[in-house]
Amino acid sequence: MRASLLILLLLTVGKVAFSQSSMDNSMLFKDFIAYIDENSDYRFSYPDDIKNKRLIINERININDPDSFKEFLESAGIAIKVRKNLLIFKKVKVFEEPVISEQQNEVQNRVVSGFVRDGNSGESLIGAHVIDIATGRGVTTNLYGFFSLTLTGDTIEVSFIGYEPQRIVAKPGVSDYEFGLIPSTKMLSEVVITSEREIHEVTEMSKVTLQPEKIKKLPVFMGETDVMKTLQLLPGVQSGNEGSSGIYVRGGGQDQNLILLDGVPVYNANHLFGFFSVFNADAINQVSLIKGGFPARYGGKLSSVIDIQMKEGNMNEFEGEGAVGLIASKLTLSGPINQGKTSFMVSGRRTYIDALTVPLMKWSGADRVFGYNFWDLNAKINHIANPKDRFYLSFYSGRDKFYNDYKFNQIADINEKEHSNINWGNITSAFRWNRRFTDRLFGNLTATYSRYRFELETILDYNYGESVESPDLYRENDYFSNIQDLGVKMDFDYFLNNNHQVKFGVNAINHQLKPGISSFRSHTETDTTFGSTKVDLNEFYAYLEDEFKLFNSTSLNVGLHFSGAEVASRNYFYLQPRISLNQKVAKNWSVKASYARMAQYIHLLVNSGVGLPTDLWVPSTDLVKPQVSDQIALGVASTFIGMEVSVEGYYKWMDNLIEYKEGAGFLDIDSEWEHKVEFGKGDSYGVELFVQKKVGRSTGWVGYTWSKTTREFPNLNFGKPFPYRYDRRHDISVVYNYELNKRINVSGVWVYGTGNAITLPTASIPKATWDSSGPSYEEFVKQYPGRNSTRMQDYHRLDLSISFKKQKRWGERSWVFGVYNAYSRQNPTFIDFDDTKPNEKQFKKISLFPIIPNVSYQFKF
Amino acid sequence: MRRLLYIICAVFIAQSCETPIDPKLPENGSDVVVYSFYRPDSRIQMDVFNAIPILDVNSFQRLENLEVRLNVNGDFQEVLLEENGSYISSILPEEGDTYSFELMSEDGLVSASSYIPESVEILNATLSRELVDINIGEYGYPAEVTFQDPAGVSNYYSLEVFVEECSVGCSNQTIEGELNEVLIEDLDVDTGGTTDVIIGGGPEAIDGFRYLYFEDDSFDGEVFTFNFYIIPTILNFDRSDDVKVRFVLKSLTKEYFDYLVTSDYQLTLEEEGSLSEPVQISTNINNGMGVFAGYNYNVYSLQP
Repeated sequence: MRASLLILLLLTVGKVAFSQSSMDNSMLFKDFIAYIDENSDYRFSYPDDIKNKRLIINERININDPDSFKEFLESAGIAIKVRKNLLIFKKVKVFEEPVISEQQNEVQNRVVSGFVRDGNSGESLIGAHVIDIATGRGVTTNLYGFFSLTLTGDTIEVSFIGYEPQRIVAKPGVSDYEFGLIPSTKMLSEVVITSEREIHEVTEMSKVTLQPEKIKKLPVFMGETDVMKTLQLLPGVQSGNEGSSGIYVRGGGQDQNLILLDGVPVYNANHLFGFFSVFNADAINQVSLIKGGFPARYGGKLSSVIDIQMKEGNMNEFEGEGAVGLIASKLTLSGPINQGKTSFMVSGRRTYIDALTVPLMKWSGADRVFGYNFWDLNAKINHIANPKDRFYLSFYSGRDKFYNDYKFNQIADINEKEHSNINWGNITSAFRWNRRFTDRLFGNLTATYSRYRFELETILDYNYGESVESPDLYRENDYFSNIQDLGVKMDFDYFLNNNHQVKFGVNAINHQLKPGISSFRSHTETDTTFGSTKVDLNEFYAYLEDEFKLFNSTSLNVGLHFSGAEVASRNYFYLQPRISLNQKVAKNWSVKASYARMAQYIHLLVNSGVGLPTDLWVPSTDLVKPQVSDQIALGVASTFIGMEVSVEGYYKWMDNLIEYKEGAGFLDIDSEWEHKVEFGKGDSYGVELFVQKKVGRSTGWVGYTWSKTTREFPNLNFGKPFPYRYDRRHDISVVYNYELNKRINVSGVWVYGTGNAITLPTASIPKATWDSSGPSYEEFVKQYPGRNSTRMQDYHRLDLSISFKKQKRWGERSWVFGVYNAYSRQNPTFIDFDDTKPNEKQFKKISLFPIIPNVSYQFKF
Repeated sequence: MRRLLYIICAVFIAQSCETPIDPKLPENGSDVVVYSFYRPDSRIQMDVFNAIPILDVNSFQRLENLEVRLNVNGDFQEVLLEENGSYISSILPEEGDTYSFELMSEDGLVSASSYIPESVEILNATLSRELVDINIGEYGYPAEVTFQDPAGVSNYYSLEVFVEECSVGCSNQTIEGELNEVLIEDLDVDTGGTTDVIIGGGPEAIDGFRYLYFEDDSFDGEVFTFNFYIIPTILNFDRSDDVKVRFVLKSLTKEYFDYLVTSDYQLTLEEEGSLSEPVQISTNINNGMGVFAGYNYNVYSLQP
């Protein structure tokens, strides 16, 4: 309809005066043909691949004179031949850039720059597509919504998924533009025109971006929306144990994920032993996951980059949202401090498990009372100082707390007290200064602070009277481990032209690690401090990357990441080449390939692999070398019938991985952690299929992964390779969301995975206790022939949810009802060998979560 | 930390379930289990058992009527003599020599090889007659043993304490008396997060150990003094002070040490109910389980 109207205007009114408004003078070739077909007797012949060519029609044309079409067709690279009433359109083979009209020539190679933001809230839109209509080429906005476009025509179109596209005609002499896109109200309509660059057009591979609004529509565990659990549903990403939010990407460990919150590393992303992640979805603007083909700007971890951007705060009006769930409540507020200049966002969440359980335990007269809670707080202020400078200050703090008190004095002469208190959590903060140096050069200075700390305090105080034959006992122990980062980095985006986007920068971080320090007092011991000493590790990197079009159908992202670390007297340096290639092979189809080398200077020593807060961050040292990985990936990507499809194969090999020694920690008079670890290597390879529908009433995706992951340590598993704990041959996720109408939304998630690899005993053997006086065989030990050599049962689960939304005078409210594990599948969490009764030995499967319903009340104003 | 985990799990387990299952276990390989720890001046003794499938309720059986061939430095020496279910050599092993065995079982040839390392001399040992209170609420006699660790090689040690009652005369034998349990109190940060005083098997371990073992990672080539406590069981100065205490410092081969570490740690983890990866028992037996290892020793006697 819009196309018809435009043609009508052009054909009847003639030359149209354009202003910087939504009115435009362009249309797709197919719309043009449709109009001619409807209003003339011409027949047509044209190749399929010019259907979506965009035509710029500035001059008056006569529908009965096909020669008048020539000029604007040639501009789009299309030739026309007229044979009686047959119009033959052909793609001009030599065509690379459109022929530029005299009028356009005036603005040739003009550079315009600016920002793309949400028109209502002022939030930066990351990855919005800004195109020069004349060439059809464009750029995407960076993390701060900035773009720089070399304009050969005069019309710019800006689009972003979920927003109405906006088109303007660039005014002569004006190079600074601020786009405020309006969220689309047509989400329920049959088709919503998309907008961002489609998957086959993007050079990067192995990358998925999620919007919190989509994440929030999916079923959740116990009513808590969880970003990390949504990432688990993507191909190439394995979840840990049942209910855990830990993620394992392409055979990597949990410590190999670079989790960035507003550019600041987060070292422990788990609450409640991984059942929830620390990221409050209400405070998040966007989440990106990169599994391979890492651009040179990222480094420091081997397996993935999870880049989370917090919301900036509404620049224009005060708003809020929140939720009351079964275990936690949360509230987010944002608004202007100085309208259009300064905004804030603050978001908090707290659980109330202990508020219910502790009074109950006290009331029942229990000797032992314990409680648990966690909270987190996100805050951000952003300030636009002038059109060139902008400042951000962001902060996150989260804390888990477990406490346990025991008191026994019911019997005379016995007075026993115990107290333990366990706290762990992160603090991150970042100060960022954006500056647009020129229309082509954008810079960002970031100063960061990040700390993860685990603390444990235990007090034991037993006092006995004379009637009890036992000595008094007192022990007090304070233990803590932490990792603390202070960092500064400078990143630049240089938009050389629409074909070259260059990024470069430097980063320096001081890591301060205290891998386990304790102070001890007792009835026999005065204050004693012991444990591993503080270690400083200074890490730096510099990078340069260029994303460019080599040919019209070939784009590349080539970069170099050079990093180094200094610890004690030892220096490590790694040059890490990165390359990604996108070769368009057919309409809407491209082949992609990538190679990336990564180095990691800090490691996580895990006790169990289930993501406990006690897992220790340790640095590279003389003895412990940095972990290194290489990854190659090859895939195809396409967009058709409104869906994105990608198939990727990868092979990753990792070196200098560390694990605890067999028997480490037991009767080990040498407390240095370095002597308790083994070094080895790992391999992972697999194929991933990802089909995603992003727009329309039905959205969702299907992900399938076939993969194989092994580890090999000379001193573990008798030197033989063994499957990684989360090695899963098959992994499937089906995610579906359907908007029944403006009020009701239903969604479902089904997951399937090959059972976890597990180490089980196969035989009992006598244990030799052979001292100098002779042998004895009084005890038994178990024979484990191979680490992770047995498989648990396959895992599958269905989660469902339905939400009812209603507009109220004050805003909007939703009731969300959900069910986790809808068909109550008894999935194994672990397998226990029970030999307490010698005549009834058996293996037992422990299933933690049967069907679990949840309800939450959400509101927005 | 463990308690916290249990509590969290218990909350969920309240509505979860346990189901007996029969997992498909991998092949175990050979079922032959061989144990032999030999030293100079004492005949080699080998005990050979069969492993029991994990769900089997039968008890262990010694494997009899086997032909066990002993080689010294690669040359055939003798077929071991079967005696009370064990296989015994006629020769006395010597320091520095390498010994190996071969036996044919239903699962094929089983073999292993080891040697007797050099002994390390105890330079000094002391023992206090005063009983002290240990942090865990246990009592013990403080003792220490000093020795020079050979430099440039990895050394593995085990320490045992023998107590001989001398009221009717003391023996001059190198190792005589009853083995007395000992404790080591090592203030350490437990990497598992269960921070407390690490005493042998952990805070709960109050029974002591028959032996203490350690390696020289942190004191390679140094004169090292090892501090520990002797539990007042056999050695008890309140009952009798006419005793001879023998400190036996064993120099172990790596295979012996690894077996001790892994077999003890496996049991410890099971007792704790730890979520850690189960410990595989170290072995140097080809096509079998167990360990065939030499050791040497040095004795320091005290008559406090």
